[in-house]
Amino acid sequence: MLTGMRWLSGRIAFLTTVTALVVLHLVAVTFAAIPPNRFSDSVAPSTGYLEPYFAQNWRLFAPNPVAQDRTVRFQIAYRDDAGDVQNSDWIDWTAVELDLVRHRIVGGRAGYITNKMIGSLSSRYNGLNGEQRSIANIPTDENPLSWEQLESQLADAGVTPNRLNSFLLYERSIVRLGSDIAAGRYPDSEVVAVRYGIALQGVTPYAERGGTEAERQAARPNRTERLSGWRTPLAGSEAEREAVASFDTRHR
Amino acid sequence: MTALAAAVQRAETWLTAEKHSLYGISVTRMILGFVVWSQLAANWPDRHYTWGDGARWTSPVQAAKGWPGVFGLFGHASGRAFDVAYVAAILAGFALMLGVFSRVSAVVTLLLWMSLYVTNPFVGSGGDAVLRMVLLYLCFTDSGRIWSVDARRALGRQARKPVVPPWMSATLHNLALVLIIHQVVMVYVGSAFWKLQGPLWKDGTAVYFPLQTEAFSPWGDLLQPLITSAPFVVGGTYTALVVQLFFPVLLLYRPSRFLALIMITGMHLGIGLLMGILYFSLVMIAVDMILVSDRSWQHGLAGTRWVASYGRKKVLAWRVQLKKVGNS
Repeated sequence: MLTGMRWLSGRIAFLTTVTALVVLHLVAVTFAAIPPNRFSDSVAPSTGYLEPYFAQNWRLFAPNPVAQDRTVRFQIAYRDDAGDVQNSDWIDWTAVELDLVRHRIVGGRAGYITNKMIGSLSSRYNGLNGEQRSIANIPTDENPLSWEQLESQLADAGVTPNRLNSFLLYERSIVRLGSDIAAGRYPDSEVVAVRYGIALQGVTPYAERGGTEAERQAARPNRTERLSGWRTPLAGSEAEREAVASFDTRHR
Repeated sequence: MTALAAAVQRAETWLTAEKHSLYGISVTRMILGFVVWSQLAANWPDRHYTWGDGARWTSPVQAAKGWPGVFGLFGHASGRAFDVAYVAAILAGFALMLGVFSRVSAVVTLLLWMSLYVTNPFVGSGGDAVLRMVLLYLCFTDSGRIWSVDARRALGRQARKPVVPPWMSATLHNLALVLIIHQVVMVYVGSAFWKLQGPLWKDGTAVYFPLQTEAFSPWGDLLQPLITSAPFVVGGTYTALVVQLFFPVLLLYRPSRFLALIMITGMHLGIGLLMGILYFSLVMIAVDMILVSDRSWQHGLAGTRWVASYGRKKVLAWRVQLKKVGNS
């Protein structure tokens, strides 16, 4: 009798606990999934546990669908045999990645890497004011700022530690990719500096969609591009450089 | 007994008495397993740039994401060791698809897939987010009970003594189903709410724009007449918006549920094929399959068998007829 009652209370405790946990999780997911409002804002401190595993970001082509071609390009400053610094042609890395997407029913997962990075890079750059941007964009290819100099100058210009840290995380990443690419394309040269450009161009407006290919291209909004300042290279390990070079060789 | 007590009783019975949607969850398991192994196999030539040594340049950003250390395997593997772990992930996904030790396969697939996923923060998509959540919930379900190697092996074997009481196993299975279904509903409803805030969705032209970009129009140059036609654009935009927004309501009645599932599956296939993001679509289709009831799967199965049997009889009769003509 006693054992039976214990079993029953254990069953009730289990059912109550797991059901309550699930219901709380359902409520948290519901608030996190819908666009921010005063109700979701009020429970936000309790839904923090959802990040990163249960992150609810379902802005699938919403509120505004992707309507631009976005491109990341790199330029390399390298020392030639005479010891002079030369600038390479621009390397359109997004085009290299898009080789995995064009005319494929199933696009390769690496086809969108820099495309996905552009939003984060741009939002961090846009968080800087005019003076801070001018430091980030210093155009010297022969003697670029060291990463420590860049960090301290931005801090002196008033960038808050969180914003600075976040900006430098993405800058370091994109520059390291550019440095890896440079190592593959200029294996026998000393790479002095790397910079990147982010180009955006809107697609043909809906109203102009019926024209010929040439007319549709002519109707597209002008291309805009932001160029970063020259950065000190940050090449990765030998295995990293080889993997990037191998990808480059297959898809450029 | 009060109405509340009766409702609690009904809920408890629903939770503990039997496992629901066994056919649907099996189909979900098979498709998700297929998504994992086939996707990894298809990306084999570029695996090092996508997730391996060639993706280490993303490590400053990756480190800031705060993923648990349990998903660190691929982050520490390089060269051959990475390849071995990668092949293990393919095999785990294949085992999950076939239903070989389904629960173990689900756990291993989850760990390996997530370990791979976190190595590059710029590869993930909405489909990956759904996949990781559903894979976790799948570990608590009895997804190998039907249409699996496990089920086939169990046929010729005496029933084993369960590790946990059947009511407990049923509760975990059914609650995991609730979590999966709620998640998929929130994907659609949340996405629809975001869409309602965009002018291009409201004026019916949203579908046109991604299909004009280089990244999401792998066939854009060949399909331009279709993807620029107003009926296609306006029809596609409003259909996506309406079906997603009213998805939970449409699930309430059997006929409208079928309509919703057919439309949303068609929408996913359209998105997948036209935009080159088929794996995202497959994940969503896999999860939607849970919403087809066991009875419907059984009817569908019986119908398929009847059609196959009818076809066989017809072919046999045709052969006999042919033989007679040949003899005469």
